[in-house]
Amino acid sequence: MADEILIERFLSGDVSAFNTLVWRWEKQIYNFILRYLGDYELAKDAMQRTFIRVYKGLSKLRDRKKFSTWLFQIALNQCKDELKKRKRKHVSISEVRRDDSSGSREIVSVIADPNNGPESVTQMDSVTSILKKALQCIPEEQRVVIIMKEYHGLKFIEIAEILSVPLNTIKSRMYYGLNSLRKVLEQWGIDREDLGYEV
Amino acid sequence: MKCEDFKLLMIDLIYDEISPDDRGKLGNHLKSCKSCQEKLSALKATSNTLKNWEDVDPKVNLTFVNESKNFFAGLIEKIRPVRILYGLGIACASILIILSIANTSISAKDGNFNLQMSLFKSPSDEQVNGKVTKMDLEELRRENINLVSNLLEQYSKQQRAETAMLFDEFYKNIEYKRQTDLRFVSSALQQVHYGAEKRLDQTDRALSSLIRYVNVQAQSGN
Repeated sequence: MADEILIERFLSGDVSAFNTLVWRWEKQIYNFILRYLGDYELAKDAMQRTFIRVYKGLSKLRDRKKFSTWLFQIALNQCKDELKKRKRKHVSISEVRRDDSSGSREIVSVIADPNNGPESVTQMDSVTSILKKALQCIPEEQRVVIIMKEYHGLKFIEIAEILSVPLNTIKSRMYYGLNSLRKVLEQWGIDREDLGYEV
Repeated sequence: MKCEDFKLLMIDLIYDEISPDDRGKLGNHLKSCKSCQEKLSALKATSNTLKNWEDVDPKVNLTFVNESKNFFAGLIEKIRPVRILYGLGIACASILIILSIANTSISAKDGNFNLQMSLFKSPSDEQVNGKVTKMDLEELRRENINLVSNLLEQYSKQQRAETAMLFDEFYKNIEYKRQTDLRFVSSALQQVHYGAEKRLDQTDRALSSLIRYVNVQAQSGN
C-alpha cells in the first residue's frame, strides 16, 4: 500500500495506518540519524521526535507524494537540533589518532586477517566504528549528502530538494565529501585493502 | 574542457546518473588524463568502502495510539481556543486588583486592625466617622432647598416652553383655517357677483327688446 493511501487513511482517523507508515520508515530514518549523529541513543531519541513531528504535522503536508522528502527534512532538522543541544564537537583527526592509534592498528590487523572466524563479527563492527568516526570528521554539509546518497539511494535531485540547495552544489559536496573521507582514512593509516573493498 | 569540469561528471558516473553525452565526454577525457583516472578510482573506492556499513535495526517499534481523554482533558481542549479570552479576563482582573491595591487603606485603632480596599477612592475616615453638627445640618438643608428650587424652576421653564409650543401650533392651525375660509367666501362672492351681472345683462336685453317691440307697435298703430 502506497504511502499516500496510508496518509489518507490516517487523516480519516485510522491511527493504525500511521503506525504502518512508521514501521515502514523507522529503520531508514533511524539509520540516517545514526550515521549523521554517530550515537545510538541520540539517534533513537531523535527518531522518536521525528515521528512525533510527523504525526502532528501530517495534515499540513500538501503534496503527499513528497512524503519521503518531507520526512527526511524533519529528521535532518531533528539532527541539527540535537547537535545544537548537545553542543557536539567534531572529532578531530588528531584526537582520534591519539586515542585510537594502537586500537586502530589492532583493528586493521584483525581485518587484514580473513581467517579470523569469530572476529568476522568484530570486523564488521570495527568497520562500522571506523566509518562512524570518519563521517563525524568531515563537514556536516558533505556528510549529509553522502549519507543520503550512499545509504538511502536518493537521487541527487531529491537530495537537492530536501536540503533546498542547487543540484550542482549537492554533487560538489558529494565529490569533496568523498575526498575528505578518503583523506581521513588515509591519515588514520587505513589503507584501501584494509577495509576489504575493491578498487 | 579542463579537469575541473569533469569532477561533477565523475560523481554522476559513479552513481549512474550520467547522460550518454556526458559519459562520452568523460570517457574521452579519461583516456588521456591519468590524474583524473586516479581521482575517479579513489572516489569509487571510497564509495565502496561506505557500503560496508550496513543498516542497524533500531528495535524500537514505535506505536501511536488514539488517546482516550477524560472529561476534564476534553474540556480543557475545548477551552483552549478561548485562551485569548482567558488572557483578557486575567488582564482585567489584574487591573482591578491593582486599582484595589491603589485604594487600600490599613489602619489600626484601639486594638482593632482595619483593612479597607475599594475600586474607587472612598471618603476618608474623618469624613465618615466625624460628628454631624448643626451647621452641617443647616448647610444640608440649604443645599436641599436650592436643589429643589432649581428643579422647580427647570420644570417651570420646561412647562412654559411646551405651552408656548402648543399655542404656536394652535395659532398656526387657526390662521390656516381662517385663510381657507376667506378664500372660500371670496370665491363665493365672486360667483354671486358674476351671477348678478349676468342676470342684469339678461334683464337689460329683455327690456330693450320689449321697448323696441312697444315702439314698433306704437309706430304701426299710428
